[in-house]
Formats: sequence, C-alpha cells, structure tokens
Amino acid sequence: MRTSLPRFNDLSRRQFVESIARSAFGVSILPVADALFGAAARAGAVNAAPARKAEHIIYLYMNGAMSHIDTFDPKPGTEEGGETKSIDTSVPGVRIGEHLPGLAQKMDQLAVVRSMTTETGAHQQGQYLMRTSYKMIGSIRHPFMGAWLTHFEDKLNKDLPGSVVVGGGNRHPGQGYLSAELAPAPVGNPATGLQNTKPPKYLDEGNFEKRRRLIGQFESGFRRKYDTAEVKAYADYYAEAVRLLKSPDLEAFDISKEDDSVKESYGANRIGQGCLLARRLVEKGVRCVEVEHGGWDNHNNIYDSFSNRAGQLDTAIVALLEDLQTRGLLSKTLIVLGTEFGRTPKINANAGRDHHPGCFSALLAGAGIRGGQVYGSTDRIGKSVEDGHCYPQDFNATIAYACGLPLDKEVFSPSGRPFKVANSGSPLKSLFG
Amino acid sequence: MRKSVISLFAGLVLLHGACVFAQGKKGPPPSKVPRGSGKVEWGPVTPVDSTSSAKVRDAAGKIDRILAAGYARQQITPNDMLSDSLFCRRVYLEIGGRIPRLEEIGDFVQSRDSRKREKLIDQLLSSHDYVSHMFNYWADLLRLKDNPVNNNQIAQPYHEWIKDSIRTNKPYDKWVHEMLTAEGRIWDNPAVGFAMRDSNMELEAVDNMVEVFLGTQIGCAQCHDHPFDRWTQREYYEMAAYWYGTRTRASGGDRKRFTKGNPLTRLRNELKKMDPKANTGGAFSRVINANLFEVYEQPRRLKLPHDYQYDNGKPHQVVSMKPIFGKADEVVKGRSSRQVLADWMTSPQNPRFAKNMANRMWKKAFGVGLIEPANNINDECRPSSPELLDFLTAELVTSGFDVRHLQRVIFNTKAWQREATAVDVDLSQPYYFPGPILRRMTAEQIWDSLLTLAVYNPQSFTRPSMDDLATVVDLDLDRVSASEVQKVADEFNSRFSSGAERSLVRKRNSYKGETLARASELPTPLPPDHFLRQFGQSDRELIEGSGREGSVSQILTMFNGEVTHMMLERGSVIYDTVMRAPTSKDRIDAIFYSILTRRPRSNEKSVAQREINAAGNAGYGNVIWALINTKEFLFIQ
Repeated sequence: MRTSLPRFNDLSRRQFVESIARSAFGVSILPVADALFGAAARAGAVNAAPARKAEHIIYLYMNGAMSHIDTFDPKPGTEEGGETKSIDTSVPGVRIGEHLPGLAQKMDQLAVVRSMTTETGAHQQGQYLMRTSYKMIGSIRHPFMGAWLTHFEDKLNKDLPGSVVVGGGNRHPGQGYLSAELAPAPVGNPATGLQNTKPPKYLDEGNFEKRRRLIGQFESGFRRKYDTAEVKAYADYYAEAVRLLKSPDLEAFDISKEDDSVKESYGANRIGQGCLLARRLVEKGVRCVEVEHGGWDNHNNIYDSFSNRAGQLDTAIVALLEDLQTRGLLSKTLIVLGTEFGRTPKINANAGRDHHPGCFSALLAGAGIRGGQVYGSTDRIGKSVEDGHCYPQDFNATIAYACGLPLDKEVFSPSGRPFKVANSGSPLKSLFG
Repeated sequence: MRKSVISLFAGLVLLHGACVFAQGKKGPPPSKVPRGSGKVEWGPVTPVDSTSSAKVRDAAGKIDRILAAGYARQQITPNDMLSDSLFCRRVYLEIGGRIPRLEEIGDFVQSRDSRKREKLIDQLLSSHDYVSHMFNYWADLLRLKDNPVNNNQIAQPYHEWIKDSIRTNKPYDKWVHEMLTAEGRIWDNPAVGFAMRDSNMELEAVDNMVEVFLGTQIGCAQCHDHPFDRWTQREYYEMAAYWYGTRTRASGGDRKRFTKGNPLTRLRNELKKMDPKANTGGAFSRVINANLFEVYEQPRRLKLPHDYQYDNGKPHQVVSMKPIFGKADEVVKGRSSRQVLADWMTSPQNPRFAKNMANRMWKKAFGVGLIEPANNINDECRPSSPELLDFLTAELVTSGFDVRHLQRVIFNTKAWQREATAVDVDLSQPYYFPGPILRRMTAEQIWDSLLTLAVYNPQSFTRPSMDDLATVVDLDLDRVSASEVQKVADEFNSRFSSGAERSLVRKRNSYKGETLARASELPTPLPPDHFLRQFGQSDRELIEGSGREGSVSQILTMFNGEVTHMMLERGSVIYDTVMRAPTSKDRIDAIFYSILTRRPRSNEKSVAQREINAAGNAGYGNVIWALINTKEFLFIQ
C-alpha cells in the first residue's frame, strides 16, 4: 500500500478523504485509511517502546500558560519567587510550590520536567506547537497526540469515540490532516456530557425506532439512484451513531452516575469534573482524553486567585491518580500535564507575570513513568533552562514513546508532505523504568 | 402535476386548536421560535444587468458547445436535465446558500415563463441571500476571524466591508488591489483587515495570498526548494520581500508620534495613580491596543535565513524584490512595494490571477475544477478542457473582473442545470462535466436551510453593525487622558464587545441558547461543538479549511439537536405551513416540498399517511424529523 501514497500528492485534503471514502464500499472509511497508513506505520517502528506501553493518555492542558515558578519550580528566597513558598514532598530533597500540597505527597509517583523551553510567547502559536510539535502555518494542519494515537492504534471500544477533548476552545488542532474519522469528540461541559446524545423526553425508544424506519422508507429512492461511496459512508455514520446511542458504554459520558463522594473527591469544578469524566472514559476504552483548564494567563494580580485555581488542579490530579490506581488503570494510562510556556520571573506593575517562553514546567505520571523524578533545571530565578533543555517536540516524543508509537515513521499529508508524530523530537527515556 | 401543486401552494385557512407535533405535550404553549422582522439591515444589492441577458445566453451556449465536443470525443452521455423543482432547489442552495421556501417553490414551478430559470438566477444573484452565501465562501478562503492574531484586534469592520464589496459587486481586481494596498486603522479603512489577518507573519502572508489569488503553492519553498514544483527558496524570499515592510501595529515607543512616551505605559500609570485598584487590563487596554493596530509600510530589507543552503545566495544576504513569475514594475519613490505587488497580482496580464478565479468559480458550481487541485496550479497542469478554461478566463477579464457575471454565465449553462452525476467520480481522472458531481451541502447550507424551515425572515438577524466604531473608539493616543480612555472603554464594552452582542442576540434571536441567524451573521470562528463546526465549517486557521465529510456527531446533532426539535414547535415556519394546509394530503405534500423541494412519491405518501393516521399530529412531527434526517436532504442532487 505504501507505494500508492505518492498518487495522493496532488490531491487536496478533502478529495483525498473523499477518494478513500469512494474506495471503501460502504464500510466505515476507517479501515481503509488504517490500511493505508496504520499497517505500514506499525511495520516501520524503530524506536522501541518501554516495557509496558501506555494504552491511554489523559492530557491536562493548562490554557493560558501556567506559571512554573508558582507551581513545580518554586524559587523561594528570591524576589522573583513572589509570594509562593515551597513545601517538602514525599521525595526527600524535592520541593514544589505550596499551592500543590496533594501532589507534593504524590511526588513519588510523578516525574516533573522543569526544563521545558519553547520558541514563542504567543498563546495560540505556543499551544499549537505544544500539541502538535510543529509550527503553526496556514497551509497545513498537524494532528494532536490523541489523533496520532488513534491513527496508529486500534480503538479499544468500537462504540465510543477514539479521543475526546473536554472544555476545548476554538484553537484545537484536532486530527489535523489525518482522516476526519479521527477527530476528537468535543465535550463542552463535563457535567452535560457528549452533545446531543439525550433525546427529548417525549421521544421514547419505540418512537425513535419508528422514526428511523421512516428515514429508510423516505430515502430509498435517493439511495437507489445515488449509490455512491460518499452516500454510503453517511449511512455508516448513521449506523455508528445509533450504535453509540444504544451502547451501554454511552453512560461513560455521564458523570452523574458516580457516587457523590467520588464527585466530591475530584472537586466540584470544571477541572475536577473533567478529570472524573476522563477516568470514566478511559475505563470504557477511550484512548485519549484531553481536559482543558484555563485561567492561567495571570498578567494581573496573580496571587488573588492562584492558590484557589492551583488548589482545584491539585485536588483533581490527586483524585485521578488514586482512582486510576484503585481501578488498576494507572499502569496503562499516561497522565500528562502541559502548558504553552511559562511566566516571567519578574512580577510586573500589575502584580502579575507576563509571557515567558524561555522556560516552564510539565508533568508526567502513570504508565511506564518512574515516579519521584525531577528532570532538568532552571537558573536561580527561573528565567532560563540550565540543564536538560526539553522542547515541545521532545516532550511529545516522550508521550509517543510511552505509547509505543513509531517516532521515525513519516506519515504523508494529502499534499504529499512528510510529517512525524513528534517532529523528530527525542524522548526523555530516563523518565521510564 | 400542475393541478395538485396549485392546490397546495394556494395558501390557506389557519386552523385552530393546533398543538405541537412533539408527542406528550398539552395545549398550545407560547411559541419560543424567534421571528425576523423582514427588514435586512444591509444596503441594497446591486442588481445584475438585465440588458445583458442575450450576451449571457450566448456565452453559456458557447460553454455547452465546448463541453458537447468533449462528450462526443469521450463518448459520454450527459446527465438528464433537472426537473423544475430540483433546479429550484439547487439554484437556491448554490446561489442563495439555502433551500427555497414553499411559496418560492410555488412561484417558480407554476410560472409559465419560458425564461423562468434565467430570471430566477438573476433574481438570486441580486439578493441578500447571495451576499450571505458568497461571504461564507470568502470567509473560508480568507480565514476570517473576529480577533485575527491578537485578541485586541478588531476585524469585524473588515468582514462588513467584504459583504459590502459582494453586495455592490465590486470588480474582483479592484477588490483584491484594495486589500493588498490598504493602510490605516480598521475603522478608517476596513480593507486593512487583510494584512491584519497575518500580523507579524510577513513570510506566511505571501504564501497565503499566492494560494488564494493565484491558486499556487509556494509554501514549501519558505524553508527549502519546493520538492514538487519549480519554486526555489530564493524565489520565495524575493516574492516575500514585497510584503516584508508591511507593519500592522504602531510602535508605542515611536518618539516622534508619542511625544509623551509609550501611550500604553503612560495611560496605565496614570490610571494607577488615580485609582491604585483599577484594572489596567481588560477593555481599558483593549481600546488603547485597538488604536495601536494600524497597517503601514516601513521599508525593511528581507534577508535569506541563517541556514540558507543553496549556491545562489548566502545566509543573511539581502534579497531584492521580484515576483514569482512575469515582470513587475520597479519600486520607486511615491509608489510602495505593496502597490507594485498589487498591480502585478491583479493585472490582466498575470497568467494566473483571472485563471485561478475562473477555475475556482467553475469548481464552486460543479464540485470539480477544470484544474485539480484548484489550489495547486503549476506549469505542468493540464486543464481537463483548456479551451473552456481559457474561455472562462477571458470572460472574466473582458467583463471587467465581474465574478458575479461569470457565475451568471456558468449557472445558465445546460451542463450546470443537469442532474448530479450518480456514480463515484474518480478524481485522479479528468472529469468531462456531464453535470455537477453529487455533493453534500456545506455546513452553512445545511444550517441556513434548517433556519429557512424554522424561522421567519432569518435574514433580518444581521450581526450588530460596527459602523459607529470609529466615533466611539478612535483616540489620539498622545493626548488622551486615562479617564477619557476609561469612558471609551465602558462605551466600547456596552456597544461592541462580544458580551454586548450576546445580550442583544439573547433578546432578539436565540432559541435555547442557540443564536439563530444566518451562518454569515455569527461570530467567527465558532466553538468546536457548534452545529456549523460539527458539519465542517472551518476554524479559520487553514485556507479552505472547511469540509464536507460526515461524522457521528453530525448525525447525533440532527437526531437530537435543538435546531431539529425547534422545527416541531408551534411558530416554526414548517409547523405553521403544515397547519395551514386543509387536508392531510396537502400537509404531506407541503412537508415534502418544504424539506426536499419535491412532491412525495405515491409509496411515500402512503407511508406518511399511515404514520399520521396512527400517531395523529405527532405523526407530522415524525415525518418532518425523518425527512430532515434523510441523505436526500443533505446532498445536492
């Protein structure tokens, strides 16, 4: 199949997908796309995976650029350190910011990367780079990690979407140039679950079935005349949608099914409920869940709300770690916490911190990760990386490596351009084992 | 046929005691479906030139003759001509961006005028529907965003200006020239929005404009010689040199302009002195920043990158300006490099400017371009019919770059008025246009069609205008005081912020939190879970980032979304239409015409009748719901 790829060089993205759809004879277009890319990709794996591959990713994305100095890389005793004190953790010699007391106790399960560095201080560009490993340009869209994962690995639950983005804003790159089939399902609010899966009250199951039969009867003429792959592909989506609606696993999207005590342990806020939803989805086989958490763009009065916001995050991750562990999911789920860049050591005239691409922090835990580690370091005031520079490409390579994805495999875009899962980044292999 | 149609379209007695189609509800609740006033707040649309009908007919005939020669050569039988009602559906969708309303179908189908197709094309090309539909097309190509690169940038005046340019049918070359050369602030000269869209991305901006206006891809050559085309990295830089001096933000540190120091710092400090607790961010900083955004040209020399690897130049070497093909004038005093670029770009002598547009308009009408992919024209491209592409290109140039005229010609061809091709089209082979290809509606066409079924006069819900923006927000940044800025910020917030828009919309045209307005009148980009995004509307990051592929979430939206269910409520257009029809037979006809623009076949009639006999009024709701969920509704035949 590989040799047939260059034929697509000249086709636009849509035509490409359409041409796949057309050769798919009414089955969902995924298997064909998978045959084109997936099999060849799997054959080409060079960068061997760690002993235990991560099957799922829960990626907590901190929108707006979370301050490293006030979280994982505190600088007490300096003017730049601001009001944040540092506290001991469960790992002797490792201290983190006081706003994360729960995580401090879990430090033995965490790997903190303090030497993240990136090339842009603009939110949108930085987020795009962090999620895709590529610079944002107008002529191509690159996939986010969840799409790469579902591109290379089969779905674990055929009824549910392969990846889900919770609380996602506009600027998510989604599946990029990969098949539309791999698009993450968006969930705006974790409390309301997947959009449009609840029928109106009057529409009971019998009535729904009747309506579906009517569709079939009313469109039979059209279907006979226009028996094209595109129309058939739509018929498959109908079937899939119905399967999803009837699937008992759809309940995974409904966090109200959890006990109140569980809900409370995660925290009654967006990030807490988002993490709870992520756990429910992973439990039912969703490959990747990204939960977005905003409010970190603290140009003004950073300490007015920081403790509260970081506290919610702290509670949520601790609950997530414990819950996954109890359910035996932690060893196969990689937890990631990332953001687009850091914030300035200098506190500005508005008692806030500004954008700082020079250095920032990130976090990894779960599948394959050896806890209790701090990777890399910054200087005395948290301005530049001193040791172990880790670019977004390297960070993504680490995630991909944890999942056993082929880092060296070139996957062609419909315009014929070759891209790799982490843009040739080098995984931080020392975090594993 | 005609008789039953007349009885249906005659317009009828209002029935009393109507109840909702949805089962299980009692009594008539007050209608929650908003209604438009019928007035459209845009200016009038310049009508097409009715005296040139004969010329248009000739040109369309010529195209059909060229195509007929192709059919003969390839031994192809062209598709059947569309019936009147399916023609009506397609022409409303492809010119007006929505399906026709019942009475519009009636007017057309019942007319005995032998030129009725031609007249309907003209009427639609002169309508606000056309402006709305073409705006969506351009929003996709130009990646229109309300806050382009920076949240403090305001782009809506630019978007309104684009609608005006479509509405007044501004010649395409003039329009592009204005965008490429505009200077000033967005409320003084909204065309600067074009440059603002790629603020601080001078190299990418050139890549983007070449793709949009010339259908040519040079992006690869930004970093290395193009692997599949002839462009070298040096040529890319020479072309980009024209745009490199385009600045989009005045420097606060410009001492000549801001004699009292950086206005942002000065005003923030002033405000802090007045009130130490005041917020110097938010709207305060937004209106100051908005005044700093302006497009101007600052001569800057573009150098080859530090890692330049080819023999024809050295890293950091300054490149001179040179277009990627053909010749451009010299940049001389009094004539900016962007003016030279715009002259070159929009010249009739530019071999790709008119050709690209001709190809794009053909593709827009038929679903396949004469050159494919339409965004990757290169020297080796062989159009499926060079004669036809040359003819269309010449037609565009001689009409004075009248894009709407070109569309008018295309829509008047027999080829376009044929049924969609019913078999899979292999896009790696040339297509000889026995008819348009079968396509799913665009996201906007689906949304606007559903609105047509649900809401009276959705065209009235135009986006709040920013015409008065200048009078509120324009500041002399060197003189203004912090308290004056605060006042302006408050007024800006109450009139032009997204919050102000939301509160207006909530009162006027929302239904269960969903803003009901034509796709062209909604914020851009929309959030990823919005109906339009689900169906493939672009997030405005990529040129032509929209898609027509299906997805599970689309189906869920159609099954269970608010918009589908709004249709079944009292006060929706289709509800009222059905209830006005006297007999169940008329009602079934009305439903089929309203949703699919055709009459029900006899077996469909009996299926629908059985359903209604069994379920009563709720049966109508079930039939409506089912028809909206057919593929026939989603695809343009």
